[in-house]
Amino acid sequence: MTSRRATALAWLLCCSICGLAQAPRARADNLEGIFHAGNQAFAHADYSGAITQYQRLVDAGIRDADVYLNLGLAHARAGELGPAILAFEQCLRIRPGDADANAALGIARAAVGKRHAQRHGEALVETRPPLAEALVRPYREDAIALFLLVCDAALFVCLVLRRFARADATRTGFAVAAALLGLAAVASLAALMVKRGALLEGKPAIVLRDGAELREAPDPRASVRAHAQEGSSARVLARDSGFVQVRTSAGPVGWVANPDVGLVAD
Amino acid sequence: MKRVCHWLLCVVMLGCSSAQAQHEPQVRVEMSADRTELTTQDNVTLRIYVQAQGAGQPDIEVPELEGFQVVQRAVQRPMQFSFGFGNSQPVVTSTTQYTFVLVPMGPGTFKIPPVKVSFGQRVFQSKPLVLTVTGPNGSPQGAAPPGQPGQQPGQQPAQSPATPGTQQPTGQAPSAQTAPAAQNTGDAAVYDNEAFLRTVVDKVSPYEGEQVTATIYLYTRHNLQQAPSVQAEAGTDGFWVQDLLSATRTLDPTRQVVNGRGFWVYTLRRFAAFPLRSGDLTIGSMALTISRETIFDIFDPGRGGPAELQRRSVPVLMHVKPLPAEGKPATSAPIAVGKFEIQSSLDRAQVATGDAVTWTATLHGTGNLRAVKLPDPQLKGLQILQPEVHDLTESPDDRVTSTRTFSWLVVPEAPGRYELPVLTLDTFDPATSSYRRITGPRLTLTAAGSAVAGATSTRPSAGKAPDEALDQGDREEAWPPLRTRSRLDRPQTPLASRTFYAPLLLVWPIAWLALAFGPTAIARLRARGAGTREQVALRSARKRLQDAQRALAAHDARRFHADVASALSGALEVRLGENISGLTQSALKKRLDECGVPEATSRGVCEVLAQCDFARFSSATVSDADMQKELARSEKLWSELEAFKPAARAEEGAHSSRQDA
Repeated sequence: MTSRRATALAWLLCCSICGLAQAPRARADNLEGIFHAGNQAFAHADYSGAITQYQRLVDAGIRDADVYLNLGLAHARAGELGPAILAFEQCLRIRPGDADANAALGIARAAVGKRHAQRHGEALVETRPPLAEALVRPYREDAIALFLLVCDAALFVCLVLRRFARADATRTGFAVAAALLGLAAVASLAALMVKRGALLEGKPAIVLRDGAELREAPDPRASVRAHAQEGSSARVLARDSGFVQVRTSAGPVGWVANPDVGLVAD
Repeated sequence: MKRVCHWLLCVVMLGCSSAQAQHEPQVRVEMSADRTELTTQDNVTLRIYVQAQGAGQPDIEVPELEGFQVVQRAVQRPMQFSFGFGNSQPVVTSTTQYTFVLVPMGPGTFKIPPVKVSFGQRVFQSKPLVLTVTGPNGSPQGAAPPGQPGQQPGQQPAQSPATPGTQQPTGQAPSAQTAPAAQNTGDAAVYDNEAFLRTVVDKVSPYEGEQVTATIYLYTRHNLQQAPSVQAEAGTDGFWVQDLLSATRTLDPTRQVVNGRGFWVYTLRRFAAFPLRSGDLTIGSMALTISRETIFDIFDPGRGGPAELQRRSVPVLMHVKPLPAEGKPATSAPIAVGKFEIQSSLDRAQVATGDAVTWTATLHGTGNLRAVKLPDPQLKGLQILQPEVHDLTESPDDRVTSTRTFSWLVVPEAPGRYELPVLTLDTFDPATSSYRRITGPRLTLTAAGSAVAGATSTRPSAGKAPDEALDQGDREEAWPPLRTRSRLDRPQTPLASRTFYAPLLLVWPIAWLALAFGPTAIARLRARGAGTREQVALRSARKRLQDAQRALAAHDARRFHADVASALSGALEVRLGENISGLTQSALKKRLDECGVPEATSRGVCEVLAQCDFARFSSATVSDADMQKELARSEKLWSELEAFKPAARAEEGAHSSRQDA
């Protein structure tokens, strides 16, 4: 009887282990399936279907540059340039050096300009970010943080070695190296702050709807202060009852309905 | 003086206006047609004129000409000059003119969309144009006589050509207002003593589609002080034109002697012209005005001679030969003229059934590929969508090389192994006057797995745009390809946001600070700690003296003497650094002397301590006055002990101070 119980217990344990091992794979297969379904929908010009599939992945917590790129392409093909620009920006935030995403973002912004010019006769197109952001844009935040850490450690190792060095030439060498590393550390610290948006107020966002109303207060009855252009950059300053307070790249500050703005970073 | 001020004001205003122009691009976009109502038997000439002023090059988007067949197309991009005063970004004026000769494909009203020009960060557009096409007898207007470029109706040929075919033209003075007659020569010019234009083409009997390189030079006796004003561009009707000079350049002249006179020679135009049809075609006359005024004229206002010179170039007539019939492939597809090769590839050789794969074919070579189109491949079992076509044209060494890329999206509808059809293109090489058929590599696509339900039922439809506002051009932009693989990463906490990052960043400076200043700080703390102990002990001793004072007030002689003895003993122990409770009076006196305590102090201390010992056991014999005196003496002794520093301790303290320094 004891032997039987032990055998049953062993089987139960094996089954549990197998089940636990299979669970992540099953989930992974499911996510892969969703991704492929999105790609197939895209290939057959079912762009809304593709958007639905890619959005399912995003809703499931996937933050992958390829998914965001495909999502942006599907939005762009569907004519939704604001969400497309948002997706390309999200892709570039995860993988800053992605040439395809950069190219797609440029095309999308140009298309927004054309569309705006068609409607209003003239359009102002954002072609490049501010200088500080443009300088750090090609680098990943983690890479900058790691570089800062390495510079920091190397700087103080140099200072320590200089303290114990006897020869003047060696001491001078360590001093020069320490000075250079100090500069690099300061630069990378500044870059990290720019990358994390520490020097700017609010979180980066994109206006999703052309002509989105910037209101005086978070109320649909509040007077309209200005209109935001689709795909333009903005900073989210505050949130209140279905509205977000944004500062657009053109300058005006106002309250915009929540669905009209998408955050680049969660 | 007044005139000089006037000139200075002009220069300042010019500088201001140029600075303003740098910041605000000025673009003029016009689209016009020589007629807006025509019959199906007529043709219409459509002109698009774009003039942009500012730094950079405008991006011109020519509209789709739906309902019309383009029989002739020419592009003229005149030179762009910069005459600045050391500005970092020169002010550039560029002018581009497209000329299309259109034949309507049927009656109706056709709206030609506006021309869009992207310049700087702005987009400009012209007004749309509406053309009404009626039936064969619906319009009284006749068709314009083709083939007379560079010669306006009513104009009379002015004179005969001078010295055709010579490198250094000589002859008559040119007429300023009328165009000379066309010459069938590779080098056409009419010599003039002051200035003249010279047109050079590398061949006058090219094949249809073969590149002809044309160059227009300006010869002037005096160096140009400002850009010449172009009144009319050289007509290139019947040619496909590609500029060979940089869009932004400076006019750098060379020196040449013609008929014994020295001339400055400016290269105004150099372009590759590809004849679109056989027969007689003309590179028309270019007219320009040269200003002879300079800023130095203010010193010589009465200088003789005309202020402006007007000159026209001699048109060049070419006999374009049709492609030879011998060996000509029997195909209706256009034949590419030039030397080309074809490359073909698939982004994946194996694919899941129903999944899309991109098939890319690239035509590259010397010549014009704009009119070349590969036939759409078809294969049973494969759904091959309409291709995306991209063109790239370059002109190294004045030879136009073209690259045309076709990208088909291929979706296998059933599993299997597919041999893709080999892509072929018939070409004609003018250098050898021979035809050649070029072929791409043979490609195989393997589809595996079962097809997804409904995968093949949906075809992309250009007419089903979800957003009507987005036009066809936007949807057909060169979007990057779809990613077919993904790691499906989940978000990770950034390195800088992790809890260990800030401590890890701070540990190094803290460690260095500890290493650099730690020993000194520890020494200081030690010294400060020692001093603190002594001070505490002295304060305690002082407090005992205050207790003694209170005992005196309470007439408690026993406690008074105990407190006084304790205060002095404490002060002595602090100063000597040892316990003195076991010492006899003589031993204490000797120890105090050894430590360098002054004789009066040591003796006084010993006496007071002895008196305290005595009085503690016979307190009744001590009066308050005695205690008062004894307290005053004790306080004086205590002060002397507090101020006293033993010799050894003083040396140690001095050493410690030096170390701190």
